[in-house]
Amino acid sequence: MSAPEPILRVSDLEVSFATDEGLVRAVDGVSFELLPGEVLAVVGESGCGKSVTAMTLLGLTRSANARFAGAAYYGDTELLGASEAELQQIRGAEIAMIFQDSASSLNPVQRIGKQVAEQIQAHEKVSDAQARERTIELLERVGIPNARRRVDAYPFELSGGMRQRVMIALALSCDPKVLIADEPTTALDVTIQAQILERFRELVRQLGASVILVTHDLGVVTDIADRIAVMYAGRIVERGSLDEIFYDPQHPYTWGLLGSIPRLDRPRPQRLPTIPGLPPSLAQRPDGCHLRPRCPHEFDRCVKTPPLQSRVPGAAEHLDRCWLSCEQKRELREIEPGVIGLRHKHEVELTKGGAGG
Amino acid sequence: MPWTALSLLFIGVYSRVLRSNVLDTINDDYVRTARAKGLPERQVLLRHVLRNSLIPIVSLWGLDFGAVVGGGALLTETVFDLQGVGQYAAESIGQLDVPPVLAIVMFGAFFVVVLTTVVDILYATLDPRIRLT
Repeated sequence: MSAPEPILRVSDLEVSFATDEGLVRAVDGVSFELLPGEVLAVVGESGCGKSVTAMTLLGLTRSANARFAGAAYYGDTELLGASEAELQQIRGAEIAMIFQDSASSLNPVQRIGKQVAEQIQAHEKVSDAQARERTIELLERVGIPNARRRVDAYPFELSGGMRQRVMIALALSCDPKVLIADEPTTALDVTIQAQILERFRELVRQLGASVILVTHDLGVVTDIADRIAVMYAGRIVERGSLDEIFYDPQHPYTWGLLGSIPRLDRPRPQRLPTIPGLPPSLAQRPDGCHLRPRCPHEFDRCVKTPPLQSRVPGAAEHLDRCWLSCEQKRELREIEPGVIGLRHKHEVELTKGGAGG
Repeated sequence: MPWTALSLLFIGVYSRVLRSNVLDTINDDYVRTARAKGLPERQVLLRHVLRNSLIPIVSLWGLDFGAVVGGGALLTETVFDLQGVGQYAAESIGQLDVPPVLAIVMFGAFFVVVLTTVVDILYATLDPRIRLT
């Protein structure tokens, strides 16, 4: 099968912000490609640079304090260097974004219908009445009952789930090729979350759009992602298909993430497993592998930054940033038979001591 | 000339207040949404930023305008020798003539009350969240 042409190509993206504490590098050499119709999930904990990466693609992080490097191609357009006018053409029409907090991401003093219609009219020459009809249709498609009446509602008159649906309608309104969903369901409770994800997946499939799904919820990821990129402290530490990441994770950070999901099919642990320590401040990150201070399997090579490359035999698309060999990883990541997780440092030392003496 | 003199002070005050409000609003999430929609910057500013920054301005305006109409333009009227309420107030105070002073205070209070009502109605049109149901 010949590889399809990627719709979005990001290479060595770097984003830094000048702050009082000096230059903070929020995104550090992120590269990925997005194929037509695929769902790429970007996961990682808060502050690891996933949202900044997403927003940078649309030029929403531009400011006097921001510095960019690398390149991001949408088709033939380079997004980082694009002029505001060029970006306006792309935003909303070609690449649309769904923001996480619908309560603050919708203008509180404008009717929702108006906010959707406004986007349609920014990109297509249609009359007010036509734009309104399309808005109503869109609201129906995202599952808002009674859309004809709700179109004149203000955001504060709707529930969180309904507002998030409006956000999705807004993003879909001009049939974009790429959707960037920045934690689209984090502000919702689980039942609504499931409903909305279901609807979202359906609509995306109909539209044939590619999706970059930014989230820290691995449950959401398993539902809809094709490929996953795990980010830590501004870098992608591991990238691969859904199955590769979930069943053959290579980076200790990914083990930690997977290990900290409560499992229904196992006896309940006394404490939910965590990754020891805190993520480093982006202003003062450790040299080499950023996970080094938290990683129980750290060894002398870790002071050098491991490149993002394929280390699993036979899986050319499964990339990671960890010096350990694939066999070592497969052995170290099992905290008990069949369970993947990240051990704590003292546990590792105990087993080492036991084996040696 | 008197108009210019009177407005100069207010222009200064109001542009500073508006400036700080706009700076507060411009970092709000929905402004980012508006940009992400691909709206021209001008529309983002007018429809999304300006409207949300107007509320404090309107409340200030109600008080100030009421006060000016009700005799607050005292200095301007004296300097330019306009026969207005403000100058009348100044003269009456100078002569310790109590009844006109009382009347003028009432007069001023009346306008402040009326304009506060107007401001409340304006609030509701500017921000639907304030409307009574």
